[in-house]
Amino acid sequence: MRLKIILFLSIIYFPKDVTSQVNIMGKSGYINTPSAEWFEDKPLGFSYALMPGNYSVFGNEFTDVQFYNARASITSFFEVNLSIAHRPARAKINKLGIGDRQLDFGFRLLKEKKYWPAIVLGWTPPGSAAPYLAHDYLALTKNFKTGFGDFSLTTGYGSPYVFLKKNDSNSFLDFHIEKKTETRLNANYLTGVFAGFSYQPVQWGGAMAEYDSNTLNAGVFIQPWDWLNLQGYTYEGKEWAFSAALNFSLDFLPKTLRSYEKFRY
Amino acid sequence: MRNSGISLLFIFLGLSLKAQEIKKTLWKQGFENLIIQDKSDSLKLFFEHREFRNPYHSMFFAGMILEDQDDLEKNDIKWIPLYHNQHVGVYDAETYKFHSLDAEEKNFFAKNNNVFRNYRFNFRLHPEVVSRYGYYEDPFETKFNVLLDTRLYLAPGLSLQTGISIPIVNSLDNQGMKLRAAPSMLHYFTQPWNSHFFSLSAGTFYNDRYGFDLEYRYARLASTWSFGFAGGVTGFYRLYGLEYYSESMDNLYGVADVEWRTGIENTSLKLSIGQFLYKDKGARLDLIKQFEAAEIGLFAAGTDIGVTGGFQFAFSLFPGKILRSKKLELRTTEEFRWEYTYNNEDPVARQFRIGMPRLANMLRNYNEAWIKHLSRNNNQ
Repeated sequence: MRLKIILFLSIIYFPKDVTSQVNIMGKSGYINTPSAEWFEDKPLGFSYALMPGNYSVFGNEFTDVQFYNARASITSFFEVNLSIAHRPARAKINKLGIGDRQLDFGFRLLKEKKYWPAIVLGWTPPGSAAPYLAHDYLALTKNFKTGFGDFSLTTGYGSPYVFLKKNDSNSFLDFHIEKKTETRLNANYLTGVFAGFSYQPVQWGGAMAEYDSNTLNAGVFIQPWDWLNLQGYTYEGKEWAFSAALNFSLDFLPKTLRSYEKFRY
Repeated sequence: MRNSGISLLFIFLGLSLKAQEIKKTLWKQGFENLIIQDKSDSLKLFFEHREFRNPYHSMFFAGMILEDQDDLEKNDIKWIPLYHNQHVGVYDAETYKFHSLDAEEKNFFAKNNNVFRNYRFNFRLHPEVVSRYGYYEDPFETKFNVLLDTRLYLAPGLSLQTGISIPIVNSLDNQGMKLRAAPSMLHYFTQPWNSHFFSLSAGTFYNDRYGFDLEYRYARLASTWSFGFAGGVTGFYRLYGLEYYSESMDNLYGVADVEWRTGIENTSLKLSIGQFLYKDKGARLDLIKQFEAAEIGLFAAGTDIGVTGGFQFAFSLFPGKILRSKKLELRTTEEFRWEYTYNNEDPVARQFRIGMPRLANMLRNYNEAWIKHLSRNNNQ
């Protein structure tokens, strides 16, 4: 019996590095919260995520948000994310075009060690007149590999302050610092302490839960291939949504060479 | 004495037969302008391969093919990849150590370089995407053409690029959907002195520009620094099928730049200062990261017109070769480049593409450090 248990545990144990999940804005993370995970071998990512209107990060406006994201890990410690938040209902009323553009950077301050967590600093450069999506944070993530699956644990702190550009100014540098919740935006995305947790019993999927500094959310994810990540989740058990992410390597030979190599052996 | 003379003759015959065989095998795999300088224990191979963006890939390919040749016992092989019918430098096949060609090598190349006989008719498919985002009525205004073009070599380093442009979608402007000529230009590429590269173009370019364009770059390919200057006189033009509209050619641009390989994970920084298109004076800073299959860059620019930031990427289009016969080749472009700028209203630090990679972008892939990195990556 004991042998069977050991055998069973050794089957589901996999030493391969976990492919991280992504959050609504396409960075490594859970649902709303980011993590300090780093896409080491997959420097390019594209993703789509749906955010239900009742849990919109756009201040007082409760309409659905569709996120289209691109991520590029330029080096092993510097990453750039571009998000476009499309609000179909709002776009019609205000003739908004595609939506709000959000650009931010990630800096890996520390790689994960045996006892140390990975640490990532996220920073949104100032310059927007309506920085609903702006977020500056520090995240710590630690992975645990056990015989019955992999765990990841994240905690972090999001700055409650935001750089607000003056509405009538043409200069990118003409901004002032205000508390996120006290501005006319009434934004509250990632302000204060947040935490996330995921459990991956099998290589192709798992479950996760998070506190995004405002609400408690949970969901599941599957990774049928290492470049594809699909998530379904709920905000406080009241609203449901999903996301899909593609993550690619950029270090490979042209097709002609790959075919030739195959033909040789 | 007579005997040894005969055996020497046989050795030479054997060598040249072997050389012919190697040429044939490489030609079949897309190599062009194959010139072999063969000595008893060393081999120098001049070649051009238009399918790859990274010259490393053509050298790696040639290496694999030579490895598969029986009884080829050479321990000193040197690659001399050609670009637009001109040599860039010599790379050791084992270590990828770079050096410029010496006088003897240059003479040998000049003597054997045959711009007509040594090439295929080479056609490429090159997509052209111009878009403007953000307007409510049509958030993704896009013009998408597929270009089928070719490059014909006319004289050493001198080529004509021309083709047709097939419109697929146009929700951006009034150019319409008629078939029209693709950007067509006369182009001269040369390295008259070691590490001094020139690229001159005259004709119609991308981004609705026509006129003259000159690029100069001083790039020692084993060094981390390079300097360049680009300038030109252009005007606006647009083709509507066989009809055309053009404005006078009076827009002068001149931009000097310095580029530095940081040594950190194949990143480079490039600072460009000068007068961009539309008499816009200012500066632009680029951070460029080279991956084996792509290049991703971020930039910020500040000029008279305003400020902007954005990104660009470049990669070879999949699948590369589509069909290839003895005298004909159809392939996808070796470099598709696209740039996004945050400021979608003002043309800040605007430049234009000419139909082939700019010197800085092309030479970055010939840098010794980069090629050595790729070689390490593929031989782990």
